[in-house]
Amino acid sequence: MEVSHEMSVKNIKEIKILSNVRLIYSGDLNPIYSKENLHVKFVLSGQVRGGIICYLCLDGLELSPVEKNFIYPLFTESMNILIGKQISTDPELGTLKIKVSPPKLSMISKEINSTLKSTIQKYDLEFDGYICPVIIEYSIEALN
Amino acid sequence: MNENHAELNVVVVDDSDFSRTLIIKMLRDAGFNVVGDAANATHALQIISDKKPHVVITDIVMPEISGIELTENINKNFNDVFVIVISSLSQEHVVLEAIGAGAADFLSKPINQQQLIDSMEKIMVQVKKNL
Repeated sequence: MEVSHEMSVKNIKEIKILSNVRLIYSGDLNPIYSKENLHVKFVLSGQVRGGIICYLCLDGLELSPVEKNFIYPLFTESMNILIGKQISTDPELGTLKIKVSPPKLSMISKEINSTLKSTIQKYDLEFDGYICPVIIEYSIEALN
Repeated sequence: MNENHAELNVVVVDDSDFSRTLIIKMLRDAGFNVVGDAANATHALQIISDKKPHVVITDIVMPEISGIELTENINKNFNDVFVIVISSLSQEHVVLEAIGAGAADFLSKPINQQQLIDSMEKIMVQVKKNL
């Protein structure tokens, strides 16, 4: 199948993951910088091809092992919910048959230093008094 | 809490430990009897064969065997077991695929406890009818 065009994804204002956990779209237009983070990756197939990488920025945060055991799976499931909702409700993506892979978590930090682009969205993951920035990179191409 | 809920035996299948734990807590808080849980479809089928639950709640996106394939398998081999499919994907074709595979209901993530209870109670009525 041939690639027809690169697709952008509509943001979602807010998702209540649990009673005390919210994922909120950030309208912050400042350049993005992080060097302490982890990420989950989703691979898309079907009538599109590409992937989505979600970074949880932990710069300056010192987490105990107990907190890590809570936050890492919470982040992964939150991204699973966000990506599913985005694909399901996006006017263009929602009409396509898309398969999403299970999330793959990586603990390897990557230096992120970028200005905001149409293929990047920023969110804040709020829980138990913490607010962690989340950066999401979309690379999705529609197939003919 | 509805005391009748304890009569309904449930198995929860989701590769996300976080989501599985959350669903089990919601079910137990509402008084349902969770008899097993699995992180993949192969393990789930062993538990279903062993425990003979009334209901299986399964996620769709899982490694190797999807929740849709699991639902088809349950429908074929354990036809008195009801399946509730859950997913963060909720496009019409996904819901139709789940129902086509034999699911009794479809719930989208994040799971709302009241929706889960309502779905379980609808199934409870069906289970009692089949007795």
